[in-house]
Amino acid sequence: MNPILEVKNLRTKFTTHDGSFYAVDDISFKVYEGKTLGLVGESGCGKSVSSLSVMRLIPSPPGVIESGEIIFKGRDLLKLSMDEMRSIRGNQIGMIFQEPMTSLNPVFTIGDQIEESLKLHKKDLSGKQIRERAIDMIRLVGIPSPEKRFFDYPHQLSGGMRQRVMIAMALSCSPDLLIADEPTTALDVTIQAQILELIKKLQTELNTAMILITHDLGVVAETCHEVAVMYAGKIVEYGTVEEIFNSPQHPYTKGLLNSVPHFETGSRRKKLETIPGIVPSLVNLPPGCRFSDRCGFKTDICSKQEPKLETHGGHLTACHNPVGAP
Amino acid sequence: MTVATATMNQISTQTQMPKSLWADAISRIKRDKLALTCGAIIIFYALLALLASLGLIAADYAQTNPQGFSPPSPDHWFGTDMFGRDVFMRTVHGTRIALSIGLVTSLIAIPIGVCLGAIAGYFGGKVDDLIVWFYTTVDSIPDLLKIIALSYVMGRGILSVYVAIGFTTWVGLCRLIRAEFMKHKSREYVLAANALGASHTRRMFVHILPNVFHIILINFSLRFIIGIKTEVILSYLGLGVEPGQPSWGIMIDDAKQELAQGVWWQLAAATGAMFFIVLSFNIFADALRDALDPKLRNK
Repeated sequence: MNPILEVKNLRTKFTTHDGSFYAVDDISFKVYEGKTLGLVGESGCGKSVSSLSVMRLIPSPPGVIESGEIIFKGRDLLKLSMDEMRSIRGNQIGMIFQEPMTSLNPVFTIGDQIEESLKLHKKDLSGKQIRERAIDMIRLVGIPSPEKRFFDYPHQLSGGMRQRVMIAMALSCSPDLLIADEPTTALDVTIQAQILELIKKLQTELNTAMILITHDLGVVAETCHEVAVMYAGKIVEYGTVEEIFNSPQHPYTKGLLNSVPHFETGSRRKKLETIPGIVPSLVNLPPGCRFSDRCGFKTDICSKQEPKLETHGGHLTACHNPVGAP
Repeated sequence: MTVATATMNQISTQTQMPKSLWADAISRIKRDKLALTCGAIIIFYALLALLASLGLIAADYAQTNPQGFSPPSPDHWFGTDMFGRDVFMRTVHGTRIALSIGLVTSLIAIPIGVCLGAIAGYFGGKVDDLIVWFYTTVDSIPDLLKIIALSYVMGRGILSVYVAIGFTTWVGLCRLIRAEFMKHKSREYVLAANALGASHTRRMFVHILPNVFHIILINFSLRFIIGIKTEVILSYLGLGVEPGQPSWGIMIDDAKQELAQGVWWQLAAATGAMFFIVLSFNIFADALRDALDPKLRNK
C-alpha cells in the first residue's frame, strides 16, 4: 500500500532572540489511506510544528522549513508555489484546530464559514449546490436541524458544537488527509468522547487518512493505527499502536505509559508515577541522547552519541538501551 | 435536496432568525430616543441638501435685491444679506456643501486609511515600518498647515477643499485599523482561514475587515464633523470655496463685517445650522459606538 503522505527528514528551524533551534529535527513518517497516525508527546516537543509544516503554515519569520521532503500524493509540497499550496489547503488537506472557541470568525454565520472552502475550491458548483452541501455537512457532523443552524453565529454554539462545525469545515471538500491538532483538548471529557467517535466514524465513511496530534494516550489507543512518539523535536519511537502499547522500547514511551493514572477499584492508593526532570530547552540540548538527563537507564554512550531510529523489538526506537517489554 | 430547501424556507419563516451584529446594533439604536432624534435631524439635513442640489427647494438662493440687509420677516425668514439674497435659502444650500464635504472627504480618506492600516498591521515587518514612517511624517505637520498649503497649490474652490481635507485626515483611522489588524491577524480564525486555502487579500478583506468594520463606520460619522468644521475654518481664512458660493464658512466670514452694523441674522443662521448638525453627528456617533462595541454594552 502506498502512503498518501510521506514526510522525509523534515527539519523546521525557528530563530528567536535566544538563538535558533530545530523545533522539528529530522523526522520521517508515513500516513496511509484510511489510517490514522498519532503524534504523541509533551507540550513543545514539535507535534504542532510538524503538522503546520505539512500544511506549510509555519509563521515565517521566525520559522522556516530548512530541509526535507513532504510527499503528498506523489508531489513534494515544499516545492509548490504559494498558489498551488493554497489550492491544496482545505481542498485536499483539511485541518482541525485545537481551540474551537476562537477558530471561527465571530462575524459570520457557521453556514457562511462551511461554505467558504467550497467556494474557494469547488468553483464549478452553483451557489445552491454549495448551500446544500454545507447543510449536508452540518447534518453529517451531527448538529440537529441543520437548515436552522446554518444561520447561527459561533457565539450561539457550545464548544462541542463549534468543534463539530470546525470538522464540517475541514471535511467539506472531502480531503484525502485530515490533520487534527489536539481536537479535543479544549472540550470536557464527555464531549471529547463524542467528538472522537465522530471523527472516527467520518474517517471510516470517507476513507480519509488522518494525523491525530494529542498528548492523551487514551485517545491514541482508541483512535490510531500507528503512533510516533516525539521528544524534543525528534521521533523517539515509531510503530503500530499495539507495538507501542504492548512493548514500548524507549524509556520515554515507557515513562509516558506509566504516567497514565489508573483507577482500579479496591487497589491501594498509589502515587502517580511521573518522569523526573523537565523537557530540555531546544536552544540548549544535552549532548548525545536528548532524553539522557531524565533517563533511568542512562549509560556512558547516551551522553556521547545520539541514538538513531533502529528496529528494536519489532519497531523503530531511537535508544541505546531499549528497555524491552514492561 | 429540494426538500431541504423547502424545509429551510419553512423554518426561516417560522422561527426567529439569529441576530447578526448589525441587526443587534440597529435594534439598540432604535431603543435610544436621543440617538434616534439625532439620526432624524441628520436625515432631515441630508434631505434638504438633496432637494436643494436638485433645485427643488430654495432655488432662487442667488436672487439679488437692491435693498440689502433686511431683517427677518415673513418674506425672508432669516432676513437678507448685503446683496439682498435670502439668508434662509443660502443656509439651506450651505447644508449641501457641508454634507458633500463630509461625504467626499470620507471617500478619499477612508480607503487610504483602511488600506494602509490593513497592509501595515497584517504584514508587519518592513512594510509596517515604511507605512508607520510615512504616516508619522505626514502627521507631524499640523493638519491645518497641510490643508492651507494644499489649498494654495490647488487654488481656491470646493475641489481643493475636498482634496485638502481628504488627503490629510486619514492618519487617525490608519492607526486604529493597523492596531486592530495586528490584533486580529494572529487570531485562530485567521489561521483557520489560511488552512482552508484563503489568500492574503481574502484573509485581510473578507475575514478580518468585517471584524473591524464598526471602527470604520464610527469614524465615518465623526468625519462629517471634522469636514464641516474644517470647511468653515478654511472659508473664514479665505481658503475655502469661492466667495459667491453659499457655504456656512463664507456666510460666517461675511458676517464678521456685518456684525458691527447690527446685522446678526446671517451669523446666527449659519452658526445655528452648523451647531445642530455637528451636535447630532456627535451624539449619533457616540450611540453608534455604544451599539457596536460589545465591551461597552451594559446600558
